[in-house]
Amino acid sequence: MKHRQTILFILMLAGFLLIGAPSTFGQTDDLQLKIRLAQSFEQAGEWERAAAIYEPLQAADPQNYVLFDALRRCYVQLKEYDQAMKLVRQRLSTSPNDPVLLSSLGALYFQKGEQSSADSIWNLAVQTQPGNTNLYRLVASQMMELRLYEQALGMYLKARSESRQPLLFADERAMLYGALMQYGNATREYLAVLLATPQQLSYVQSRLTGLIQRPEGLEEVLKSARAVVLQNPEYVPLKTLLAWLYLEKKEYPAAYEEYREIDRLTRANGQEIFNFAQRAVQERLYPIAERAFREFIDRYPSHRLVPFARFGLLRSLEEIRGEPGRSEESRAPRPTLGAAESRFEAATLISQYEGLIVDYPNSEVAAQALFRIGVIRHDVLFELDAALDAFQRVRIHPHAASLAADATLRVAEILLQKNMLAESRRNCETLRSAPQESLRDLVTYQISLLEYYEGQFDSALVALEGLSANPNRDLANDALQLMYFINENRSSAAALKDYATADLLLRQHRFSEALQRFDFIVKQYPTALLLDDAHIRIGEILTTLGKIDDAIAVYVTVVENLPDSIVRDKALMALGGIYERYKDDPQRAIATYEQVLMKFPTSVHVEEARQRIRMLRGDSL
Amino acid sequence: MNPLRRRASTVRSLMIVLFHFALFFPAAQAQTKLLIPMDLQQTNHLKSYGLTFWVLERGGEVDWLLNYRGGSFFMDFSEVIARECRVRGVAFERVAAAQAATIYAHIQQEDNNMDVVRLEKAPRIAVYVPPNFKPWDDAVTLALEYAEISYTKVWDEEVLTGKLSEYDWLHLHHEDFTGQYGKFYANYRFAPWYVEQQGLYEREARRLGYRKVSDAKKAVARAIRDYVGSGGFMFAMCSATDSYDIALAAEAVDICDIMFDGDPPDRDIQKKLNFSRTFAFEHFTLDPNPMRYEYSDIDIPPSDPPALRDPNTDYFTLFEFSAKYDPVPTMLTQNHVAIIKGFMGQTTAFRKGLLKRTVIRLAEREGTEEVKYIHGNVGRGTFTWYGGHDPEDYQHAVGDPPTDLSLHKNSPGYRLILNNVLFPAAKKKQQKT
Repeated sequence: MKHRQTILFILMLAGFLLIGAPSTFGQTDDLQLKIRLAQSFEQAGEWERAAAIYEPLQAADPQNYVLFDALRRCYVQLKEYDQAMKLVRQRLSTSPNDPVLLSSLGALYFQKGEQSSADSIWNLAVQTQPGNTNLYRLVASQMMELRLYEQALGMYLKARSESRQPLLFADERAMLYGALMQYGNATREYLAVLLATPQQLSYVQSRLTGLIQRPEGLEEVLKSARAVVLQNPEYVPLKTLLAWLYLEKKEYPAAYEEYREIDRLTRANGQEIFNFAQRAVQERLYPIAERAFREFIDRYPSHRLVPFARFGLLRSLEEIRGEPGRSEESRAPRPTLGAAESRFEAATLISQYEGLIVDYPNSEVAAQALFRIGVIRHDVLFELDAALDAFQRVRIHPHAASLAADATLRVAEILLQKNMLAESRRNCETLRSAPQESLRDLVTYQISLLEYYEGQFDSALVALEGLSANPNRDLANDALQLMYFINENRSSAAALKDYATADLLLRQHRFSEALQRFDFIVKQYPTALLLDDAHIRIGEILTTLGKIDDAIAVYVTVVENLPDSIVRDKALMALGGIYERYKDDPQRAIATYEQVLMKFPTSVHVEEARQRIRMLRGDSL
Repeated sequence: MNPLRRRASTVRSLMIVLFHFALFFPAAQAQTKLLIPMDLQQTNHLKSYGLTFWVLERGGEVDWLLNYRGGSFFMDFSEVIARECRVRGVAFERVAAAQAATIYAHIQQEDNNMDVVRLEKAPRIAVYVPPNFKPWDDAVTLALEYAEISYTKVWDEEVLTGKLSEYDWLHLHHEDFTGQYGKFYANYRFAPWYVEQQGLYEREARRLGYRKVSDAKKAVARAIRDYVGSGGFMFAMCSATDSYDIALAAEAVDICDIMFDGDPPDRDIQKKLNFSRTFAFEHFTLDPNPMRYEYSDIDIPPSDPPALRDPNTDYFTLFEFSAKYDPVPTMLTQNHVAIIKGFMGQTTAFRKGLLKRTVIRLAEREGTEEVKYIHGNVGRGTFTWYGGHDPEDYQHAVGDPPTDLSLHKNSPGYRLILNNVLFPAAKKKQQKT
């Protein structure tokens, strides 16, 4: 509405000026006014009225480019292509080789639907000055405006052959191919640039990044790159690019082969192989990291990075063996705990780490190796004294600043497992003022657990309340769970204290004693609220010890004989897990999970039960 | 085959055999019924539709109890169905024969605005999407995927070669049938996805023998009109609604500016629109400005500039229809709530004054010109259009993450979509006069 008012005002003003006071203005001012009026019509989309003003003005002054262009524009908007062509031809009569006019004429033919005439005119435009590559750009741009991408590609190609510059317009062509989703062709254009100018590697890589966002794009780019590399097998920038593409496609062995080649071609003395191995470790690709580290060590035994490579190799081996870095799921209680094979591998790794410490004393590698020895002795072999010794040495190692806090936490944990609770607490206290909030929270939680084990429930609750106050904290849920358990069972103080002691035994890996203590609780406090929790603990310990049938019997007891228990759903889930993992009985596992859905439809385990059922019956989700 | 896979396969085969046995030989449970309540007792409304579809796919029959406890589903009880309900998290009730008879009698009483519609056959569903489509950009495919309802993707070639006749139900979502690529030009013309989309559409149009995308889309719009006219069900959301009608009205006129199809629009496009060809709207005014993210004045509030609204106060209301006399609109408006929270889209709602008189309004924003949900007949078929993009994402924008429907299991807005999926499964019955 506002726009219309403005136009109306302009029209009235123009009318007044034109009719009322013609004598006060010169001819130039009159022309300017008319042009402005016509432009106003253009802006309002009233092309016919604009053309009506421009026509006499252009006829009176055919050399005026502004009037010519304005009138041509109006004709195009009105789809009066014949009129527009007539106008352009008129102008061409005075300058027949004007490439801009010819290009524009070609566009008019195309818009009129006369494709072959358009092509002829465009070819004529570029032939006016065959050596001028800018004319090809001009015509190709015109074609791109009309979305004639294929023709624009052809025009650029023509420019190449005419100018004998094989890389001319490579970027433009690559972008056009990209828009046409012809990723392979786009890649070939960029790689041609790279072949001619190795310094363009980063640029080409950045351009290809846009093409590989889609899986099919990555596939095609990789295919083209592979073909070009085959023809230029010794060209390092190409191989670097290919290696990067392999990494993007997660084809790590192929990427590794490329880096090996790059290392050889650049005489990098293993640096490329080492860098690849480090990257593989960061991305948790341990088998390929192992291969790379081994090759580096074997081929360059005196390289300054060998200590780090040896450490990287051992870390990779540790992870491949799955000890102790296995996932939480695979850390579930297993009947094979402490198997001889595992112990043998752990001992071998320790001796190799020790070799590192001997070979590179007082180094960062030595500190890291020492820490890993502690972890293996603690987590795999459960050799508490030896692990404690290792972590204590880490704490005073001059190159272990980044490991000190972790080592202290380990020391505190080992002391707890050795039943030296006061000493464990003292160690925890040293981290009370750590700069990281998460570490301080962890220490607070550990201390509250120590108090719980010792039966100091009041002080434990105070610390747990503090932790649970902020639900954004990582440990808030754990703190709430323990708080709830303590509060629920405060009325049976003796049972709770015994339960806490049994929990401590469990944490100390004293499974038989813990089992006895939980059995004792079940018999001694048959009416205690924690009776069902004790059963669940017994089931877990029996599973850990590989006494699967006994564990089943315990869980069944919870489900069938403790009708008021709130952990019957948990017992059923544990039962389902046993049928699934240890008994290889999917039917029974499904039936058990279905019991959870039927009997405990509001349980927190319902979603997991559904997922397990669907996974076991092979639903495509 | 690895052992786990083989085991899963064996289990699945066994399940299928058991299912058919239990479904077709429910003698042991004679006349016992299974009720899937769709009121506030339901734990997962969206999966309930999938479960019903699953029963229909396997040859079962389901009664849709219109307006009874939120539009519940009623079927013969079988342990297999009950188990499937549990696995999918769908609440159900086992109903004894006598109680089932009471429910039917209650529904049939004249003074109760309820009715029973028999669902007989799982509809064959087609979703019109381009090949590079992402399921999370379309509320319907999100709903179908979550509810586990199978569907087939079709695009221009399938539509133009008459494949639509193989389907009972066709869905269109964030499409632009005007050939203006969603009118995203002003903000996204340099975005890779826009450039790629335009290229893809142009190639497809040329491959199919059309010089312009707008011409191809008009042909598609015509083919869809023929499909609906021959008895098809069309469901559209967001910009597929108004852009579809605009394409039909502008069949004989070029409304696309130069950046869309390489030449300017025709003169006097507004005067050349033919509203007799449209489904739902008439006398609308096009927005010819290519730099503006809006097709016409059908959309209300306009998308450009985006409306500033408080999501907490934006609601729309479902109309109530007579179940016994108007079963179709009743089916389409089955819900456990009557007031539903609003949501925006490129086309958020439809301007009431531009609706044809034959169009039935199913939901609107009370006290405003905004109609959210409409239904109408074309020939032997019907169309249902729903304004807005994603019922659980108030202002969905390009590049936004997908909506996780497991967090919206009871979404009333999504229920309206799924009502439409089951609607073609209904057995036609003699109307009361």
